Amino acid sequence: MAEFGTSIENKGDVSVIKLEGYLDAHTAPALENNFTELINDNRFKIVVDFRDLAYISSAGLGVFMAYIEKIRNNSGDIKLAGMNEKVFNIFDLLGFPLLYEIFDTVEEALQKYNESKGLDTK
Amino acid sequence: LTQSNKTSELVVKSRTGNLSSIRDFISSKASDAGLAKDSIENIMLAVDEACTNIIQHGYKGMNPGSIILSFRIESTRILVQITDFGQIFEPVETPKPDIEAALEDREFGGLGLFLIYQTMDNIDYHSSEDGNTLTFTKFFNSDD
Repeated sequence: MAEFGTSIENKGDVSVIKLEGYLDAHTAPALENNFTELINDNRFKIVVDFRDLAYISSAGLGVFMAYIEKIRNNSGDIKLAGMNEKVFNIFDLLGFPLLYEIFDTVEEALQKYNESKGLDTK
Repeated sequence: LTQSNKTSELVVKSRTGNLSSIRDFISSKASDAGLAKDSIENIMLAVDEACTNIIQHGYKGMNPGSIILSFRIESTRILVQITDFGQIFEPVETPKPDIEAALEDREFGGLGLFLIYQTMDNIDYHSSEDGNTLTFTKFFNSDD
């Protein structure tokens, strides 16, 4: 049974990790591998697409905590997008909206990176 | 509600690969009990978090042991009991995390426990020679 899957798509200097299925203590290592790969490739601007994620437990949320400091120290970020209500509620219960930018759509998250880039060059 | 005082049981080995079977069991029994979708999802999450703790901490350094799940429907409530034979883990002694703490001040081991406290109506822990048993109570009429 394919209970969890990820795919990565690069859009310019931003990488989008798309999540599918159930993210728990068993499947979290697959997502950790994605972050490790991106960091090794010096790709620090990341959007996580939650549209097809059905479920997350605290082990899944821990993955985002594990990499955020390293990524921000390299002028990057992890922006989250497209969560269903249940998944958002769990992030919200644990106070994540204070720590992460959460967008309704991937497009809005990408737009935010583009706006920041515009500011950098001024 | 068509059933009363009915108990169902699932026994699995303490492996993270069994978390999906554990969630399926809870989801199926809670649906049979006529619980609302939000309540079903909350029980699934709480049981997942508890079993993850047992697998990663309770049986740490040991061969995978058994986790026994018991799901009981009563007239006003659902009781879920989770029994293991690993190290004792006393949930009431674990502090709740400060969810507004700065990033670098956060500790993530307590997150699962915090979610359990947020989603269940009552939590009881009992440890004896016969194992450790965590009991969750969810009332039918509670809001979440």
